[in-house]
Amino acid sequence: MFGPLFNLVYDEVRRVWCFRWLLLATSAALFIAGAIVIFALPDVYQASGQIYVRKGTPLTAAADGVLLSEDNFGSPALIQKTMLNDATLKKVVARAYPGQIDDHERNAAMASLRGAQIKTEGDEGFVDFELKDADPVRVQKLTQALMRQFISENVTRSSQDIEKASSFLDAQIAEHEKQLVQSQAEMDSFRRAHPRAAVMTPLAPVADSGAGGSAADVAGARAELAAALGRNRGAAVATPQDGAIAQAEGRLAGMLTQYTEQHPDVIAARREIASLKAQRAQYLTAAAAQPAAVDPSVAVAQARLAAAQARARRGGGVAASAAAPDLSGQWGELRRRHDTLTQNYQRLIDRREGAKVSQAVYGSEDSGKYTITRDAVVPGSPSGPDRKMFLAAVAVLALGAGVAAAYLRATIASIFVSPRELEDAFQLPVIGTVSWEPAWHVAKTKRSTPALPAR
Amino acid sequence: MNVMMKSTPAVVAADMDDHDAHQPLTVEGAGGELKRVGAVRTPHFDESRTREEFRAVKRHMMSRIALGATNDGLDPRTILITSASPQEGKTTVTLGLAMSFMFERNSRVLLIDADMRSPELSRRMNLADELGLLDYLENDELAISDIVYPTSVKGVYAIPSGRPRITAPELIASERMRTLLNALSGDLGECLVIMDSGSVLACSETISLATHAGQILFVTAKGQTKRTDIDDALGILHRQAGPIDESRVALVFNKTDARQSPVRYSKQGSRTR
Repeated sequence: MFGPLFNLVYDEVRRVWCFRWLLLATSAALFIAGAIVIFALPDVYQASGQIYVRKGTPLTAAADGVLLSEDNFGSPALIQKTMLNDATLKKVVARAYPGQIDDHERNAAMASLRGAQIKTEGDEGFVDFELKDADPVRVQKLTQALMRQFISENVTRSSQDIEKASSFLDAQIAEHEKQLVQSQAEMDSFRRAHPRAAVMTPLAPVADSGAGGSAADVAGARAELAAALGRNRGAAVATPQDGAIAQAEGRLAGMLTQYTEQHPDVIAARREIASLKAQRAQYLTAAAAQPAAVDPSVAVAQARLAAAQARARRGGGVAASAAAPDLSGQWGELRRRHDTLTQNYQRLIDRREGAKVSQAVYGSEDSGKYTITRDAVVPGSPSGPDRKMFLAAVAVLALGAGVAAAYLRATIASIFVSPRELEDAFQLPVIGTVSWEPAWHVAKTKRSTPALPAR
Repeated sequence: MNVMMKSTPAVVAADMDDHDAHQPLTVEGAGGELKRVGAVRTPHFDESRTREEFRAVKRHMMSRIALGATNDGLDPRTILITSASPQEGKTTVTLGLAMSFMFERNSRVLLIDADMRSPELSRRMNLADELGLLDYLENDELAISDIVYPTSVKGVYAIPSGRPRITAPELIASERMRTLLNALSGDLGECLVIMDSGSVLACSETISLATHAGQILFVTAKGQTKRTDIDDALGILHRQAGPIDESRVALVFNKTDARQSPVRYSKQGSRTR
């Protein structure tokens, strides 16, 4: 069953054997070349260190319930990805070599740092650092600097995030303060215009005072409208796009710590911000032309003025009992809006306090969140290259290349290694084989007896 | 020719046992002159495997001889040993085959060194400086008996190549060559003519010789002869020297290792003669 296969393999071995000197020469040449390269490789030293990133510190426990977030800042995985870029690595080099260093040393340090390995061990919070270099002193300094840069980057990033959140909260609080002042003014104005309605309950409406009351209504409504318009012109107008713009800018700032300006996400974020700003400009233009369209208080004041003027035109014949429920509803609406604003304002104040505590917890290297559990150490003996393994691999490869070269040569030469091949190729009988005998080289040897006896 | 063969002195075994193969022997010729004896230096023919391998080749050739002349009227006793390229073992096969035929009773073998580029057969027989084939073909005054030499082996005779000439191909292709071969194979009766020629791709005279050969033994060397060379050589022979088919041409695979030999040989008792 395996006879033909065995013959085929045996023939191929014979074919290679015919060019055994080529095989040996190729293998030897490649092995020698490989060995020279291997022994010319410089020794490599590996430094390693470890940092423990705590998820819960005594400080976070103390600030439990107050922090903006439990532990979303300084994710090791995120930092790992953002650490190994040229900008950060230059900072590491500067940290490792505080003085001036020449370009050669800087390039060597950068090359080593680019090959750094930063790995996390599951969810335990351990971050391992590994660095290789031909210079044991340099690799130790670089590993130490890399670990400290890791902590610094982490803390800085957390601090920046919290600052952004604080800024956002401050803007929201200022806006709410304005709205509260406005709401209070509207309520005061309503009280002045409708002293009785302001104390009425919605279920017990009272009649208006008549024509005199209508005139007062008109005057009050005009004053309210003037106040609303004045606010609109004097203060910065809040637009619906402000929040979205702030959020997009926050995202963009975050992206710029990781990506370059050419990154598609950064470009998309910039386009979104530009679009939102354009919408905001359109909104402001419309607000200037039609204040009522963008400011509900102006619209309300205009409506009230129109209603008061209508009532005044109708004169005292009009019964005030129809307007009483409307006034009560307006007052209730004003109070509900004011209460809502007050509650939101208080929540924002609480969050801003939380941001301040978070800054203390996450924004300092001394907060206890980051601990160097194993400082950078370098073994006394080089960690590589593994010359024995490389030599073995080169030997195997060289032998394989030698066999391949011999086989290729035999194939190109198209030689015959068995009578069967010869017969198949030419369809002529191979009537015999003659074995090679070294003793056949008899021309230059002296024999005492003839090779063939005479009969 | 019969006269020549009868007058050729026999070399008895006792004469050769103590003879140095490198030193030419002389014997008394028909006219009383001294004539050099070719020293046949062969492979270690006492090796049973080699002997059996040549015996297998010989048996095949003898079966063809038994069939008689070919369709073209060529005598199968006229055997041409050739190859595609040089250094493939033609002379070795020629000598081995001659030694094998020697064991046949009443058989005479005449070796002709027809390789004008490299007359290895003449050199091995220490007849390189003697009158030979080319001298005979050029000089009409020479007789066949002048160029046929006895050898140290009884029943084996040799015609050396002769002194080299630039006109060798033309002389080999001449009518006198045809006459010589006809005379040797026709008049000598049991004489078997084995021509050791040059390689087909290197010597044009080989083609001329092939037109006279009843059998062509094409030697190929293991791991050495290229397929394209054999293709070319057989193509040339086919076009210029008649049809190349298995009735006339056979291949011998030379320089193989012992494991490829069809002869299963044991060292025990191998020294038999």
